Amino acid sequence: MKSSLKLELTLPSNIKLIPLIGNLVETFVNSIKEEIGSIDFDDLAFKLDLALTEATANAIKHGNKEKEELPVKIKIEYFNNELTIDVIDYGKGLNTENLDINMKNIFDSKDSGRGIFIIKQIMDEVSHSYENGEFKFKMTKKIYKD
Amino acid sequence: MIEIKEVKDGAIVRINLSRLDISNKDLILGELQKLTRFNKLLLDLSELNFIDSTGIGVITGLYKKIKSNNGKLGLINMNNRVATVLKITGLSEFIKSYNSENAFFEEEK
Repeated sequence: MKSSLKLELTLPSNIKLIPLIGNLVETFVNSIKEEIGSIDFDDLAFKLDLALTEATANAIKHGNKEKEELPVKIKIEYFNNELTIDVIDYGKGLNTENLDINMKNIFDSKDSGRGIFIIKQIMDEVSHSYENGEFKFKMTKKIYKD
Repeated sequence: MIEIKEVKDGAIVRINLSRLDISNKDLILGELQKLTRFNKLLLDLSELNFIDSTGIGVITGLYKKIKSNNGKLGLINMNNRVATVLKITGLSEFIKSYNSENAFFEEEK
């Protein structure tokens, strides 16, 4: 039997909430620890914390422009050996194609570009879409069991 | 938030935060700006369990400032999580990590 676990939440665009969201995804991973079995659990929890922190920071800062009344929606789902995270904001959307940065220029790069770069390094798939005023940033991490 | 131990030709500074991210960047930036007067600065990251791209930006900024004063910045007691982010961003190629305080202070520039 395939197991699944899903979590959805909505938060105001307040940067102070970021650590709470980061800790939340680590707790989420902890709750499927039995399912995912003998992998480097701490490494997985950390990488999802980092990816969600970066994506939520982008949504609040660059998407919703820190207008607290604009919500950020977060959906975390574990299904079929994959962890998927959606982060939705109500801004015009980052042009992620243009945010690829050359790490030779780390000292000149902006935090947002560096954040996207980090996400691409630690997640397996990253995509984005814009529809009905919602910008959705989607990240997937495959769980490889032994 | 930070603890400064001055030594003969520099300082060892412990960052007393478990997370250094976008949520507390502004608080620590002010504190770290006071450190640019030191010629040799060793950042003790033993308390730090998480850093994001903004935190990397904070350390990069400090490194640039110290470097422009012809000084030296090193890191000590970095955990695996923090080391991973420094590696991913390429910052570990610029800022060296040391096994002991002596190794940092006794090393020739």
